[in-house]
Amino acid sequence: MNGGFCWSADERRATAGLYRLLARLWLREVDPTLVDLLNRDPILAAFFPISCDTSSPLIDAAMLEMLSVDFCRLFVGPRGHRIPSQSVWQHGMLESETTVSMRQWIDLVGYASRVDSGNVPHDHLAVQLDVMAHILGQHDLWESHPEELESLAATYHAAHLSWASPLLDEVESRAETSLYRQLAHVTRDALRLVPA
Amino acid sequence: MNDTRTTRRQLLRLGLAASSPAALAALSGCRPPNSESALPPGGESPAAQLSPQQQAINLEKWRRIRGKPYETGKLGAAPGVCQLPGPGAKRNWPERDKYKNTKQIPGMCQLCSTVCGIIGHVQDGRLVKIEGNPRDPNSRGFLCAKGHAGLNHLYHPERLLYPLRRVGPRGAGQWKRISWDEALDEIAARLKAVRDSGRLEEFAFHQGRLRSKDAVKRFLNAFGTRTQLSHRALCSGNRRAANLTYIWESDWDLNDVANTKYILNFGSNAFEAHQGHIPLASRIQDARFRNGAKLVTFDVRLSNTAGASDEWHAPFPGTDGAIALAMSHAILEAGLQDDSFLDRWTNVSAHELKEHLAPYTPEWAEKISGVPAADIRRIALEFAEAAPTCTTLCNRGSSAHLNGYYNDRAIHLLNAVVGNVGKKGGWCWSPWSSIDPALKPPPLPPTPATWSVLEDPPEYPLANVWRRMRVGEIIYLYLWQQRARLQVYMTYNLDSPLTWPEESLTQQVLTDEQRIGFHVCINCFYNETAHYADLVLPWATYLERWDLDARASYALRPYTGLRTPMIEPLGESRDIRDFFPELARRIGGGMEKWYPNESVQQYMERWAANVPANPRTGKSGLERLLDEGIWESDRQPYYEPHLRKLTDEELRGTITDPDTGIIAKDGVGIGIMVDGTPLRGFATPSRKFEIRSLFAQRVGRNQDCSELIRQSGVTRTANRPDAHQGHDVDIEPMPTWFQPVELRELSDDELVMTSFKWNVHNHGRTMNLKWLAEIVHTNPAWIHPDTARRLGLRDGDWIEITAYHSRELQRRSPHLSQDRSIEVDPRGRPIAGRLQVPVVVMEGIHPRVLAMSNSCGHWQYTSVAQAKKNTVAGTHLAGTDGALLRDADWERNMWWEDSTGGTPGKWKPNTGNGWNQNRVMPIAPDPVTGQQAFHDTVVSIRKIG
Ligand code: SF4
Repeated sequence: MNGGFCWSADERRATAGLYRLLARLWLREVDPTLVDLLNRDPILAAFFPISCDTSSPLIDAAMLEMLSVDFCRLFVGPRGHRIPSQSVWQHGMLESETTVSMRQWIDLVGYASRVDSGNVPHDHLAVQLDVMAHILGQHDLWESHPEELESLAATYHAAHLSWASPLLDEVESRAETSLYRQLAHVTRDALRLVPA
Repeated sequence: MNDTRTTRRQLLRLGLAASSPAALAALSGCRPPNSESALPPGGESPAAQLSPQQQAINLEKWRRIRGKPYETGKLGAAPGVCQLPGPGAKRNWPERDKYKNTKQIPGMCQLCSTVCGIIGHVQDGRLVKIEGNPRDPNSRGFLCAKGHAGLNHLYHPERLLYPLRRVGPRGAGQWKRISWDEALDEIAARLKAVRDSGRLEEFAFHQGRLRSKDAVKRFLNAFGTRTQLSHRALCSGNRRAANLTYIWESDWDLNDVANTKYILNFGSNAFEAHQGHIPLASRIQDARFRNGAKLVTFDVRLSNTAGASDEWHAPFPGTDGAIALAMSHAILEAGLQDDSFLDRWTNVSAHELKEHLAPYTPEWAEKISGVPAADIRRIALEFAEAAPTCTTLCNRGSSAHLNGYYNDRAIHLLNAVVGNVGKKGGWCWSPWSSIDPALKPPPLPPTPATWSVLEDPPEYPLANVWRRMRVGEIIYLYLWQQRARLQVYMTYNLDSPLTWPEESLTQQVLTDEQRIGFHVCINCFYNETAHYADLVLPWATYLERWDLDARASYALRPYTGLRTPMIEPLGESRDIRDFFPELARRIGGGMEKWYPNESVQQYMERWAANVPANPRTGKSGLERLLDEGIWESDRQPYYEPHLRKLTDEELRGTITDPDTGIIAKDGVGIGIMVDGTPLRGFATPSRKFEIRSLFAQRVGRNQDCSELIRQSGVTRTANRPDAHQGHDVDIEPMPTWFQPVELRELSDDELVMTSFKWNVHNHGRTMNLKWLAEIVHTNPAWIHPDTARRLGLRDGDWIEITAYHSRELQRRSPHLSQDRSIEVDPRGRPIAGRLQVPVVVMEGIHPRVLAMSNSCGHWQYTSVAQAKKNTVAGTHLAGTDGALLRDADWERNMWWEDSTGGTPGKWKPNTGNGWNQNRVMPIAPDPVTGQQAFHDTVVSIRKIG
């Protein structure tokens, strides 16, 4: 934690990249392309080890299925899962006021994505991380209006990225695959990168 | 790497790696690598695959608002949750202005079959409040607790939101998410295989509560199967059959309680649970407060209805019919019968009836029921003196017995005896059990000619004669006995392991891939049925989908209500109206032609086209329904339809039978000549209220009934002597009564187990709703102090219940025992199951009865229904404010969790999620109609723990 937004453009860019990666992992099951990336890039592989032999389609399929089942069990259901959405974790329901708040943020910051198709709650952690990536990625505005951007990012973080700790605890303790245990672990640390 | 905190430098290196062009391409699928968003596009359509243009932050707006764009807490911390004020809170509840700026959208509740009209308050795209719609002529703006808890249903955190495919063995509980495309392709392939096999009846649709009848019928008819299974026999088969035996045109008596002076209630718990719950209960209270009506209730248990009655009598179980016959006897004995109605409008004269009822004296009934003869006589005479503004009332309390058909025949007879049939304030009915007939759904495919023993079991002669009531409880048994097999089994809003008798048999059959080849479950929640599915489809809730709906109205005329999406379906949940057309197109082979290319709204527009214009607003059709939610026609209430004079037009080309007076056109009865006046009469073969039913007798014996059906004019009545061959059932043509042998010979150490519903729950679909589960979540067995004394039991002590199969049924329905190994106890009693439960001791129950409620004992259906907390270690209970006693959390704050795991001796009262009575309830269909006898099970109990 650096106590403020005294970052270089590169640091912001890297943080945005990290948030985008995490957003994708929280959003839905991994696919072969993503597994391939996580296996091939040594840095990514160090953080998200997936022992998957991509040259053997059979092992690959079994691994993907195992990861899909774990993702489903943790975040989709049908039993004992917790959707990684702020409404569920803060208010014990789908679509609480935090969803409305996220919609307003999305409008304010000009973020557009598949969330508009309506099948992912707007206050899903994946969306929230991706919105922060989008905010951090506004390079020109960060150069021209750094204080306003800092204030906006901090306000957003406090409203929509400071809730996730219980979720991360639970995923770390319940995940059956190292990918999702590690996802929770890295997300916890990544959320500390942006000062609240 | 997950043991220690990752350093900032490591994280930034990771971020940089994730920002490489290759990484961006992998993260975003086909998204161009320069995009700033990682979330992949939809993938459903080419348009959705285009990368959306990210825009810049609107700094001007940010400066203007100088803070969060949306202040939470506008409607409380968790709007939609009704926060009760705690001791320190200002007493400003309810906040009258809280919902004044909301968008109000009409709809219809579907948390029970009463389908009360509702209004949803929507703000910021969220449903924040549900109220009754005062325009609904049936429910008149009232809702029960369940109706309000619709918000829990809609926004439940454990709702099914995505299609799921089983991974591993069926019933193992492992799943993965799949797309709708994959799901529909797989179902289509399975259904094509059924079609190719030529055994179309091996595709069965099994519904729980269904209010989209047209959509299901369209799909099944277009496919070519008639195997549509329901739970009617678990609910109301006997009452319906008794009504139909008397009047044919309606299976549903609508007691005109609002205008009555005397309500004689045999076992109906109208104040808590009834198919017309709120409309009926509110009118009963109107009658009591405005007309001074008296409410007398016979029930083995002090239900809330019994407790709020003027008199409560607790008869021995299943003796309602004996009491009712004795009352008719008493009325005739006192000469208080309505001779003119009996002689003119029934097919049995007052004299004949008196002779028939001679043995059924109040003293005889006292011996059987335990209700004093003097009370039976007194109440009978009070009832007769109040005529014609008096009515009987009954439901599952009298119907769900092995002699339930005869109980209800005997009860309904009382109305004919006092001549209140069809009269204002009397015993009425309505031929409109659904929406106004002026509204016809777009043309449906013809009904296929397939036959399945599951849908039409030949052993139950009255099950499918007038209406298709089916015999739900035999489905899994017949599959087990291999009398049928299913290639594809589609369940819909169904929780059969919990609500069907013999839970373990249901589970065994659902698990067996030989008996059920492929199971697709359509539901809003993962329940005990979904657990045994191969595919689970997330169903849109009743607050997110379309229907035209109504039920038989206590206003005695038809109406039509609209169910419309108040919000878009959450996640990827969809309604059958939305995906059946797509599925039909994938199956093809002609099915698709029944699904023109149109949206669901366009379909509803066609269906509602005949809703006339409201003179005030000028709006008609669907537009009017969207505005008002309900349209009621201006027909006269359906009083005494038999007295309507036939018009000249109706009489043209008719022939009148000189002996019977029956007026027929083209051989089909349309009326009866009475004292030279052509009247409509009753829609029965005799055109009279049929106290003696030769039809029922002939159907039981498989004799041809075509002539009787023609005379009735109800030509859709089935005449199927062939289908029943070999399954003769003696059906008494006159109202009579018998007692099953095991009840007649009940030994001193045996009890009769009955079941009941609470005012805040339906049978299997509400225990997941926290507001309701907080009120009722467990169900210890109720026993009388006499039983408690005999066994040395006190509140909270535990017993083991051993339940037995019916001896009466072993004799009458031997097919039920085929291919089953049934354990027999040393006294020769066939054991149905054992269950360990705690007891509550109370006077409010018959001494020979043990009662357990439905609704409890879920082992799936969300953590709320299972009373399992999901508290994360080290965190507070989300949404709970101890100071104000506010509870905005639906899931984790579950104070009733049973930390003992249901251990006898350690269990704390009012904790846990209760026990499923169907673990020990045997399959027990009434031999006449097939209705499940939920209230007749003989049990023995012993103290444990
Ligand atoms: S009686 Fe209650 S649950 Fe049933 S439809 Fe009406 S409000 Fe809904």
